[in-house]
Amino acid sequence: MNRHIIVIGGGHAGCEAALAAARIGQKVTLFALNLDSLAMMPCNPCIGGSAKGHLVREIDALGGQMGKAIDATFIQSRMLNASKGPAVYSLRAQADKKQYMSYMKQVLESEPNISLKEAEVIDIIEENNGITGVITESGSTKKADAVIICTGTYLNARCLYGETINHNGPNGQRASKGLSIALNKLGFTMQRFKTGTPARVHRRSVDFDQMAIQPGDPKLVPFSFESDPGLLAREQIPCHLTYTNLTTHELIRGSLHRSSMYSGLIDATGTRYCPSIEDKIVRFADKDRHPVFIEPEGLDTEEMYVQGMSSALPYEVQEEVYRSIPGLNRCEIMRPAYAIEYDCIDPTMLNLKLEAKHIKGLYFAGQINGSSGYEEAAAQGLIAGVNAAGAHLEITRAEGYIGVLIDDLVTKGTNEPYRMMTSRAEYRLLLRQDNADLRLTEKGYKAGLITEERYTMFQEKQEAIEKEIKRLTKITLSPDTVNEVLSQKCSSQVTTGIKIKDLIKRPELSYWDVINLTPNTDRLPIKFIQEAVEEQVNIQIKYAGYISMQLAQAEVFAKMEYKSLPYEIDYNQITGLRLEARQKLTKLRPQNLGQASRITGVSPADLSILLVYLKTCKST
Amino acid sequence: MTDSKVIAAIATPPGRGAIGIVRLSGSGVLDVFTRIFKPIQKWESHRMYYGYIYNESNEVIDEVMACPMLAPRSYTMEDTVEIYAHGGIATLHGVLDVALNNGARLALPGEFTKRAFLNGRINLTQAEAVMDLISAKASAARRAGLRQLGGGLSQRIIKGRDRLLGWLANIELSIDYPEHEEEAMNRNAILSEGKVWIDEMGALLKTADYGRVIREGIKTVILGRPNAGKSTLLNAILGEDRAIVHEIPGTTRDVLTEEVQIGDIVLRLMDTAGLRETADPIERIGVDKSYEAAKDAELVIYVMDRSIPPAADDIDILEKLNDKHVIIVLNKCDLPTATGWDEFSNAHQISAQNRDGLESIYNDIKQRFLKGLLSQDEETDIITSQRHKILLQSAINCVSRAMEEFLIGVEEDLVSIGLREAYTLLGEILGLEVSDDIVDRIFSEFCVGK
Repeated sequence: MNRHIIVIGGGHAGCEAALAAARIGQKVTLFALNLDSLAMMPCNPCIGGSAKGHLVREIDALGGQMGKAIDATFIQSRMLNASKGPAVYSLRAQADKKQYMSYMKQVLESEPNISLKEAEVIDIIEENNGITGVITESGSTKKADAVIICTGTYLNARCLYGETINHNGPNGQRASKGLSIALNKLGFTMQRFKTGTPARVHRRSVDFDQMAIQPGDPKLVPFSFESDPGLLAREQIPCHLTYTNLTTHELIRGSLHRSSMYSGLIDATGTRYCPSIEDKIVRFADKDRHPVFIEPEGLDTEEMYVQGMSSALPYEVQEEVYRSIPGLNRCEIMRPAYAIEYDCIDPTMLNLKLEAKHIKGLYFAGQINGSSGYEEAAAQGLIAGVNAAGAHLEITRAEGYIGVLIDDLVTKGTNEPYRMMTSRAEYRLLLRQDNADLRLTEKGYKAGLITEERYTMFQEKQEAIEKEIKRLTKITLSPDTVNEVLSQKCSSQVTTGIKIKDLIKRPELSYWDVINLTPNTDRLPIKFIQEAVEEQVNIQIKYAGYISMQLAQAEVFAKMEYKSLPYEIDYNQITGLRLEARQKLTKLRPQNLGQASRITGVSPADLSILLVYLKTCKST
Repeated sequence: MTDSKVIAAIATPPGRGAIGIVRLSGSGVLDVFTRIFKPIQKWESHRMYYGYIYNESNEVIDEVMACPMLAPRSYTMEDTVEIYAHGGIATLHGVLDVALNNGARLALPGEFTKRAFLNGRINLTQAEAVMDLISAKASAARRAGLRQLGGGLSQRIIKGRDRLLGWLANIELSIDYPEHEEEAMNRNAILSEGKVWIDEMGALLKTADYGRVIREGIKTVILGRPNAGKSTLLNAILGEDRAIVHEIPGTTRDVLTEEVQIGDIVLRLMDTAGLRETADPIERIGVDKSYEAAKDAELVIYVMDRSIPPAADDIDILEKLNDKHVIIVLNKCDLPTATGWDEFSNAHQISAQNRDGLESIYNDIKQRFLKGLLSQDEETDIITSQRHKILLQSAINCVSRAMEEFLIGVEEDLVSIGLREAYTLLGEILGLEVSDDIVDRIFSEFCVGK
């Protein structure tokens, strides 16, 4: 049963959606407004970071492309949060934007099941609450079994700064006009969101001596399970850090009325998670400085990205504001900062597969769902792609950040661009970036996304981890064996035999400090896989106590997830529920109490009433 | 669908009150009321009406006052009627029977409160407080229960929980925005705030002991050698306060417990059966036996006869009891004093026979068990629920451990696990974290009527 899948949009969501559906074996047509802009990064030149790095690892564990793409094209790599605990280590890499795009275009082009088409889709054909195809700008109809809409920030997009309004998408790309109306006709509730990007400045106009340098890590860690870190070596380009000051803030305050966001030109909802510099000055009036990072956009360009300075001030004010910052005093702005407004849907109209609840075969992924960020988009694209292709794939909150992301979007909805954060995951010690492959490869394999070769390698790794932990569990070391190492590491001496596991648990010790005290063991032939095994053994032993504590908490959590709410409940009859809760529950019809508990507007009091109500139902 | 049939129950405790209340609630309650109450047949909400309750044979059951309270302005948020009848058991049951014969059904345990909860009138914590209120033994417990109902305790827990949230936010911020070193977590600030937090929550936890004392009473034994006047003292205590609650067979065989209320405190006098039989002259009280008797007690009232010199046994026994609250009482002060009592000048000098000096014993007990709490009673919030006590204790343990971890440099993500756990635990006290077990527990413990 060959299905034909249409993907609308070739950003990070569209790319992953198309690749996932194609790899499962379905025919895919990807429509993009401009084939030169596939996998474009219209904002920051980096992939990963806190929680986002986790998403990339999970995408990779499910056979997605983003991890490999950034491993191939990064120009700087850092592991952030290294001192804050293993669950929140976050890998972040600066990308060469152009290389990233051409890498991804080539991957798409060489996939036999994908046809790339440059055309605007202006309508979607629906029959009997299902999808039959799309209509393009030239009026031609293309049939499809499923359609995935990944239009990012292009729907009815407007870019603004000061009094300037351009009716186009990001980076001067054309906007998409017809689709928004089509979606409205299909019964979707549309929202209007706003995001923004800072100016790009010329490298020669930046005085790096007045800034703190931020070099890449000497030890390179890849995103993809399949990337050999030994092959990643390359010259890394540093970033630089400087700060705004009171003069900057005064200038902004003085011209606030001319910012498109404060003059009334924009009334779309912006994100709190990456605010414009105007927002920062207004909301955090007591701060006398904000950090500003200067990041290269690529190897063959002199454009530099000024992270932290997103703005919608008029051009001349932007110049003045930027030039008040140390190191940017003579900066040449090549492209101004701007805010962008776009249409997106209310994601609570989707199910956990990202399919519209009321139209079968119509999927949505990426910023159209109210999210922000390349990684968030790619993750949704992959899930939508797999499900549209007919292979069932849902990730729960307990399984991964992707599950948290999608459940949050479709259960709670969002009234501002949604950014992934580690704090959104209830039990993040279980959802580490180092174990993403252990958590998800099996699911990816079952869905048809993982090659046999990789799966075999994964199984070897998994077995090796289990074997090594089992072996170490049995080993007790005598004082004579360990005390010398202990004194070297300033760890307290022992007088009786000690389990090697207990040594690894000591904060000042690790697996590698004590492993040579044990008899030699088998090692896997591939060096980086062996290293990954050792890292895993170290973490699983070292943090065993905390991990089991979170497992216990997760179990309590799961209890609520298993309490299903019958579809036919008439919430209006449960008089104790507050009005808002009754309305929300009626509209969203959560599948279980856990999901109900995450609906905004359903309070704990409402929840306890539901609990008692469920009991009353059962007893009568 | 939630059941809203008319339910009825006697809302006041069985006893000798001058007035007892029969409460009816549910849709159609006024129809029931109209059938049984005369002569007035038209009511305004929240007004008192004078009349009679009639049975089906048109006989007067009682002369009553009654107050209809229309939805949603009632305890259950349903139409409710309270009937204030004469307090005797027979009368109240008569009124209740009439209601039951005219369309009401007998309320299940806790059903009024359950309805109040289901209709959104009170939250789980308040529901739980109602339970405490109902089972409260003494006036102080009643007040504590009321305060909990009004949220006095909640306020302090909310404050503690907010502080936890502040630290967590600090940690989360530093994790989610690692590029922004300005936002790095301030370990020292959290550590010093943590210390204060633990002290404050610890103080709140201590009130749980007070809460228990006023809820359950103080387990007390009266000890002393034969003829010291134990039974006379017992009778004096029991006789002086007419509010003997009841006699209940104790948990162990042969142990009889009597409860007596002294002001805010309930004394549970243990093994009084034994005491009453001490007229037996051959009974000897040995050191071991005394200690055995005092084993479960929280308070020992040790009685000695001042009209004869102190015995060596007494000194031995007192030494052995030094881990208890021991109140030493010198009895028979109406008789001339014997020699050798000088070192007991701090003991209470009483005459049980004449009921003289009992007041100083009572004051001593209050001093010991209510400590500073009595004076600032109105401002102090008290933990009266065992469940709350356990949750609070666990939360304090979590935070203490987290602070130790901070000190030795454990990574903040791992520390946050304990802090989150504490946050959840406090949320459970407040009813902000809902789990099946809590709901089950709370609603299985309700008494009839409230």
